[in-house]
Amino acid sequence: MVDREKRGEGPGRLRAKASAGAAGLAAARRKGARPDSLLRWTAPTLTVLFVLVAWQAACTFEVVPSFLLPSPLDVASALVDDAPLLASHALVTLGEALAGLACGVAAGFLLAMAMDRFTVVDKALSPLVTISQTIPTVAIAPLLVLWLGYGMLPKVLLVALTTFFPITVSLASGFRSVDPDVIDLMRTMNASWWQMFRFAKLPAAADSFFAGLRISATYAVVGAVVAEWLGGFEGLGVYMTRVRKSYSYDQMFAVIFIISALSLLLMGAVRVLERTCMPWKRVEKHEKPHSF
Amino acid sequence: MTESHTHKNGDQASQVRLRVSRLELSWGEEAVCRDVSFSVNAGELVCLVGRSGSGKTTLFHAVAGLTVPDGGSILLDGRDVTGRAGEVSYMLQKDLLLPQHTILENVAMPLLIAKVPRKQAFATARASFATFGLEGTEGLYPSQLSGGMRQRAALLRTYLMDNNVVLLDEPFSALDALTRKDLQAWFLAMLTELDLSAMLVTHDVDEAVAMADRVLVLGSQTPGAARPSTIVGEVEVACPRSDRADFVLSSEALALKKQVIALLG
Repeated sequence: MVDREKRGEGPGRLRAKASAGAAGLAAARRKGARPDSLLRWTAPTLTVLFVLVAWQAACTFEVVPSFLLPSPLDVASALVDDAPLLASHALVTLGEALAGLACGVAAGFLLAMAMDRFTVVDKALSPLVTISQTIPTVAIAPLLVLWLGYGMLPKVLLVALTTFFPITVSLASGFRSVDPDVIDLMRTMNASWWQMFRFAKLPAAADSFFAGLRISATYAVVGAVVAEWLGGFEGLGVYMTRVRKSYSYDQMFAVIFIISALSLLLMGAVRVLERTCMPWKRVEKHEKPHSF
Repeated sequence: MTESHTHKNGDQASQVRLRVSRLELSWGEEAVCRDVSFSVNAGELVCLVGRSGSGKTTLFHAVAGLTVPDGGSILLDGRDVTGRAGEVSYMLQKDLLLPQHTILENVAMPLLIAKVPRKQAFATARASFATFGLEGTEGLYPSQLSGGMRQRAALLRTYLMDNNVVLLDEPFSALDALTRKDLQAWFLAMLTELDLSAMLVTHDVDEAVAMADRVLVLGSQTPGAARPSTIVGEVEVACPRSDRADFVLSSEALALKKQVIALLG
């Protein structure tokens, strides 16, 4: 995961950008040479292939009747046949997931900041934040549909509700992780709360924030699908309900595949964002250019 | 106190930079320091030695303005700065460099916090890198530097806080013995070069005698208890900074150490 970067001179940000290409090349060169990185890719690929072959065999040799379990090839052909339809529904779901995630992140950010700034807010709201997470999504989704109708709003809201919690919790603990001596030091520099937040707390919380965001990203797609299930006109959840009612399990599996793919896509995007936002993570640790 | 009325010029005859008078400190109900008075003259390095639990760090926090004392006053160049942070520079045993910022950003932080424009802050900071033996590390992250280099960077950051008086709380104690020795010698040279006045808190008698112009001993007058503490004695180290390397091995240095240890009780 860590791109090793050769040490160069000059300001960090510029250098990090300039040598990103070179670092990528170096990493690629090393990849072939290292057996453990080979294992990292081949082992999971082989596992997936094995599962697919076993599944296909079970269907071909009628171990499981075909009306109960479609074969991987059936699913693949359903995917290809319905591609345009799936794509249009997937776009709707992705839009809801992203909009909800954005709202959830924004709400989580504001809440965590307020909890860090004012102890009263922290004490008053942390039980509520925790309780909000114990309410099952499937229970609240129909209510949201009832209150807000069949449009996009209840879906976005549900996604926001499910995603803000991991963000709030991870940010709040990230803000708290700053060494109190750093805060004292900054006080002796006459730093304002905002300056302490900006220089010390926010960067310190980056690590746990992205851990929370990765979790939230997976919740986002699933949350959007669940909300669509319970009422709506378009989206993967709506499509899923339709194909389930018509017993087209190959299409059902195709939808599941798309949902997984969307979640993985979002997680991948989070990873990319994480690496761009944390240049200090990419440098080689404990390299000692000068001994003294 | 006459000093508080005379403002800026009051202490200049004696060149007193920092004057701590009759300071009273406590943790809740428990008295930690009682009637602590001392001063730091311009260009002087004063070491404050005390056993652990004698309230060195509490006293240090009070002088840095991070806590408000129960009584007494702290005057800086004749101005009353009791309970006010941001008047003296401050450095700890831990380098406290933020791992997410480059060395340049870390070092320039006091300037950035003082709202100096980014470009100008970086230019000012960059200009001092060579003096502090940090050239070439501007774009590196703290994790890429050795402990000694990180402490130098922390010292440069302290220097850029741009106060006349520097407070240091065991700045060398986390380093290995050889690095510590090198850095102590370098630090003395820097103090002279930059004409800083400093107060160094330590529990290491060797370090105190090797570096200080004056050693203050913080101790308790109640036998068997570490607190409440006060200044129980003072030892002058009359040796020019340039001769310190030989001095620490001399019998005079040994005699001074014995004196300090005797005061510590």
